[in-house]
Order: sequence, then structure tokens, then C-alpha cells
Amino acid sequence: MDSTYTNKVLKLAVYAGEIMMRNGAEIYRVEDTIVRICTVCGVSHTEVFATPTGVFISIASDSTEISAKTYIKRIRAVTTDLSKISRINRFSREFVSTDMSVDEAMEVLKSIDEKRPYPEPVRLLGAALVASAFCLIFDGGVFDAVIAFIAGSASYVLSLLLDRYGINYFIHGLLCCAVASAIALAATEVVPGTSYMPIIIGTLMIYVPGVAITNSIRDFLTGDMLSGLARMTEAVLTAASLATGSGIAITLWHLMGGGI
Amino acid sequence: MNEILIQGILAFAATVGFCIIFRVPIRLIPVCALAGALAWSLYEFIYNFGSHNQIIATFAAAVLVGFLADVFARALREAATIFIIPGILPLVPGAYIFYTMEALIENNMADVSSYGPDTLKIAAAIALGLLVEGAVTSVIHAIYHKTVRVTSDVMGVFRRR
Repeated sequence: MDSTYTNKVLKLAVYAGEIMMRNGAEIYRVEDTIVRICTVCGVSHTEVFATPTGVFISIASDSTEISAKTYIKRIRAVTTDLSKISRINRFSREFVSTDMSVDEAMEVLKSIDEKRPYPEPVRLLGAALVASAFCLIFDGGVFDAVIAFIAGSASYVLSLLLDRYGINYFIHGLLCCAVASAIALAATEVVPGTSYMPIIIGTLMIYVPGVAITNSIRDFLTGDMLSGLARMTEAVLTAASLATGSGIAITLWHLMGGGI
Repeated sequence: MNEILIQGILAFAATVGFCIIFRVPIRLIPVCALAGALAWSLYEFIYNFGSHNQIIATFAAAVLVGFLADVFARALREAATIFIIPGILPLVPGAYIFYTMEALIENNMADVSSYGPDTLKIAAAIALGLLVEGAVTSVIHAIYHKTVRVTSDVMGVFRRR
């Protein structure tokens, strides 16, 4: 097996792993996909170590493992894009079962990586839908839901803006929740018969760390304790940032003499 | 009962919202939203007509989400995470995070010491629900596949004779 071919396989495997990791896949799925890709390309020895912050792969094509090659990929800026996970899942099945070449596979991965998420207005609507539906679930009235719709969209606009500048996740959660809470407090002061509590809870639900909780459990279940702990910590810190954000807004409101 | 239907519809709408935020492929959104709606309805049902205990209700709903996700994942040949993430979100104790924080601001330590642990317990109930469901499914899967292999071996022996 010549070394350019092995290099290509290694690059392909790392790329697939990187896309999955950046978009919220569990550890075992990432490692499994990488091993499958390497095995089907004829690599006899593959070792993968994936964590939420980096993917490490070593491959060797002979049993002495003298020719082993390693690729370390640092993962930054994790988002959640479940369609990419779905696509890579389908890609890896296809790659294993058909005789797709490594170069073709690389093209497919590139096209998956470049897929854009839903357009921003649609995502805005999604966030507003979450906020107003949860507002109603937590005993809010119709007017509360309307305010939650507005507060949810406003804070999500801020969230998209902060994403663009790559702001740290703690400040991100804090600011988004503070803005949503401030809008909720001001609006309930003006509109009679509304209460701020269901509105704030509704908007808070947009930013709740559901992905981190789910993936952390699934990592623990497959024995990836390191990633499980990392994601559990992420969930706790995100929840703390949300509470701090709306806490700051409510405290300032009290200080400025606003009634509740 | 009507109340639960309404809650289910609201949870459906909320889960659709989450699906859009997390970019679930459009053809899977109804399935994910169904999982979210059923889980939240079960939560409401147990909470209102059963135990009046949000922790048990959350646990049961999380088990349901995990189970539905496994079924959908197998039927549609997709990753189970795609169904679990949106489905589990209505159960996440966002409200309790808020109650705890509010009690902290008001310096009401009695409320803090009741809502704070409740938040953690509900999060733990989600975790435990998914864990138990995942563990049970993998055991059933292993046993099923083993028995299939054993019986086919036995059949093979008979056939050879």
C-alpha cells in the first residue's frame, strides 16, 4: 500500500470525524465511522481517540506498525447540525457498501460540510415558536405568548449576531437571556394582565443545554467517561450562564425601581 | 384529558421549533416532533393522574423518548441522536433553573433548597431514563442476535444430517 493512498485515507477519515464532532455527534459514532472508513479502504490497524475537543487517529497497514501515521485534529466551535450527522451516517453506509473511490468520497464530504443551515429568518421563527409554545405550557396567557414570541426572536437575533463574532458560550447564554428577560419585564409592565415568569421560562428554553445533556449520557453509556464528563460540565455551565443572565436583568429591574 | 391533548399539541409545536434550530432534515421533523409531543403528554399524564411527582414523570418520559428514538432510528435507518435531542428538550428543567435563580435573588433560601435539588433531580431523571432504556435495549439486542445465531446453528446441524 503506497503512502499517498494511506495519507488520503487518513485525511478522509479525519475529515468525516471532524464534521461529525463539530455538529454534535456522540463519541462512539465518530470513532465507529472512522474505523469503518479505514477498514473498508484496506487499512489493517486503526486506532481512534475522539473527544469533544479533538480527534486523534493512527493508522498502520502492516502488523509491525512501524509505518504508523497519526493525524491530530483540534475541534473548535461546536454547533448542532443534525442534518450533517444524518448525511454522514448515510455517506458512511454508502461508502462501505459501494466501490466509491477515496477522492469521490472527499468531494461528497466537502459538499456535506458546506451545506448551510436553514436560512436565518426560518431559524428565528423556530426560536420564537419554542419561546411562545413553552410560555403557553407553563401557564402563560395568549398575550404572554405574543410577548414571548417577540422576546424570543429579539434574543435569537442577538444570539446569531454573537455567533458570528465567535463570542464565548458563557457570555453568549448570559447576554441572550438577559435581553429576553429585560424585554419580558418591560413588556409585562406596559401590558396589563400579563406575567413575566412564563415569558422568561419560554425564552430560556431556547438556550437550554439539551444537546450537551443527551450526548453526555450517551457517551457515559458507551464508556466514554472523559467526553461524558466534559459534556456534563458544559451543560451545567450553560445552565448557570442562563440563570445568571436573567438574574442580572431581574436584579437591575428591581434596582431601577421597577415593580414586579 | 383535554388538558393533556392541548399540552401535547403545544409540545409538538415547541419540538418543531427545536428541530428548526438544530437543523433536523425537513422530512424527519414530524417524526421528531411526535416523539417530543408523546413524551411531554406522558409526563403530563403521570404528573396529573399518577404520582404527582415530576421526577418519576420525567424518568418515564425520558425512557419513552429513548425507546421511540430507537424504533424510529431502526425504521428510518438514521442515527438515534437525531430523534433524542429534540424529543428530550421539553423535559429539560428550564423552569426549575429559573425558579432556583429567582429564589436566590429574593434571598429565599427555603425555596432555593427545594428548587435547586429539584433541578438536579429532574436532570438526573432524564439521564437515568436514557441510560436505563439504552442499557436494556442493548441487552435485548445482544440476546436477540445471539439466540438467532444459536438457533440457526442448531438448524444447520439438523439440516446437515
